[in-house]
Amino acid sequence: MIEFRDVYFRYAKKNPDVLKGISFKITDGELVALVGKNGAGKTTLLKHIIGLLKPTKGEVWINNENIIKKPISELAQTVGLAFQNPNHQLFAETVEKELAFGPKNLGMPEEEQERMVQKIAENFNITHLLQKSPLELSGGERRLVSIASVLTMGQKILVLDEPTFGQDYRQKKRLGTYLCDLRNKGITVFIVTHDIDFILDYFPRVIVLVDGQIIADGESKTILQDELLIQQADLEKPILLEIQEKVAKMTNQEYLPATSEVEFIEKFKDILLQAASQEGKK
Amino acid sequence: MTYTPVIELKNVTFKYKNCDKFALENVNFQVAQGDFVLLVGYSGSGKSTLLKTLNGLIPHFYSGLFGGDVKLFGESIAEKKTAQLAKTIGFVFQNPENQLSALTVEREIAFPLENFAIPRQEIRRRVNEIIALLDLEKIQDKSPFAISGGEQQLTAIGSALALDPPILVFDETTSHLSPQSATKIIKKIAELNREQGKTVILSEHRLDRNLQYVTKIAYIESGQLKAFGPPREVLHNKNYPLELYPRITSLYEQLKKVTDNFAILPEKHRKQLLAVPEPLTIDDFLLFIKGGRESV
Repeated sequence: MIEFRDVYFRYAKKNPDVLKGISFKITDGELVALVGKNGAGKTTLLKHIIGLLKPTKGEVWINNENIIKKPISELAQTVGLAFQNPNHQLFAETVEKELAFGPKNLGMPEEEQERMVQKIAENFNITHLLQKSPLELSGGERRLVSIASVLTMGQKILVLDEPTFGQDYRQKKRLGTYLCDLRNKGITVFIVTHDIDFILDYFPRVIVLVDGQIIADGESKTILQDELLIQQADLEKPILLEIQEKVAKMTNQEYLPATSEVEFIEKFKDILLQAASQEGKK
Repeated sequence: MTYTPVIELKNVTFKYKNCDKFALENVNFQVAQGDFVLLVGYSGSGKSTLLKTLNGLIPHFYSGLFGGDVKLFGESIAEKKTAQLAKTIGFVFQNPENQLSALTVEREIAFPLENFAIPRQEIRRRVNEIIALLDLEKIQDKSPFAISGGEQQLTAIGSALALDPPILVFDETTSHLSPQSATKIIKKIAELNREQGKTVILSEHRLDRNLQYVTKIAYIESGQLKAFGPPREVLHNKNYPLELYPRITSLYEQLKKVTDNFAILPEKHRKQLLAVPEPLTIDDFLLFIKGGRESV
């Protein structure tokens, strides 16, 4: 559980507030995406969850506990974070050691460590990278390893900053599916992202941050259709919705979008059938 | 008159120092004047490495084993200095912070010109031209570190354009940007391609919003160029993976599958739909739906 209670934050006394009265609650097993323009305060907010920053005013609660006095090292057993820039995080000689570092530090027995590393590597399709140095990897691969290395720790709350940067469609799908599986295990996943298609596909809830304030918090399929919110947060409509909106306009039909690929296909199958039957009547 | 490609790679091979595998293996292709090439491939396939061979960053600044030849306008770049090449090829990186250094946006754009000892007035004229072209008037006096990511990327593009190079290379230039800024940058690049005839090579993961501008796709896998040519041709190449299809094309393929190749529709309609080229972009998809609604 993550809860923000009217959180304000400024980096220095004379500076303006970066977070201005942030309140929300995320229950166990939720997948939540935070969106907003560059400079809206997203990374600042995220650093509060892992205790790297403390509110100037207000409270942050993790698992029914106010974390104001909790040491970061203790919090790290509950909350895992993958940074935006993997270069800030990777340091071991090999990818395998990188992945094993967290579990080792948490005192996991060696056998279990190995099993964990192997499992994560298979899930992310990076077994072929295990013996390489993180420095030899491409940008996208580094990103993936930095996320995988957080997942090996087995924390109950995961915070990922822009996890889909530099990822191709295949890897995104793997990542999305993996995160959805975690949810079934009661693990909470909180991400910051610009990737609207990824949100629509895998993240049911989205929080929109503009200028340090939450301007919307709710179902992604509803929020990602809101023209005004999309503008304010510097986003774009997901491809799936944009197509349907344009088709509705072209055919003078009401815009009632399907929000998943399966529904989308069914809908267009119907559209084609309808057009054919109307044609038949003429 | 013989045809000289703008870019020509002949058996380009590269292995990073201390790596056992080749990052590039016998890559051959030619790019013509005015082409807009989209470089596609999985993470780690060698996209960035390939782009770095175009302006000599590889092999001059990365140690390793290099083989083959890169020619720009028919001339091998092997003997040329990277600085000299800046007049022929402009390079924009993934992360603009890697390349910004001046005190103001204006100075950043002027920097390459100053390096070539171009007369002051000429610099002034050129900088103003670029600022107007990229709509940077509002931020021209600001520090490149006090502006948004999208503006930083535009500044980096401005600086790459300063010497008016005929070739522009973009390495995942939009991946750090918000969707709106990314689209704006891609549109600007397409404009430079269309209106100024710049030859463009761009690596990107977002196919759907770029394909409308692209003339050729280069597909690279494990350091080998597996397919090269016009978008539809490459997508149909057996080497090209379904997973890297544009989302729209993949939706179309699924629709085709659930309708049994449109066989659930009357024959006339089926023929009509099959006659519409497979959609790659949103506009193509609209055409396809239109095709299903209008009689022949």
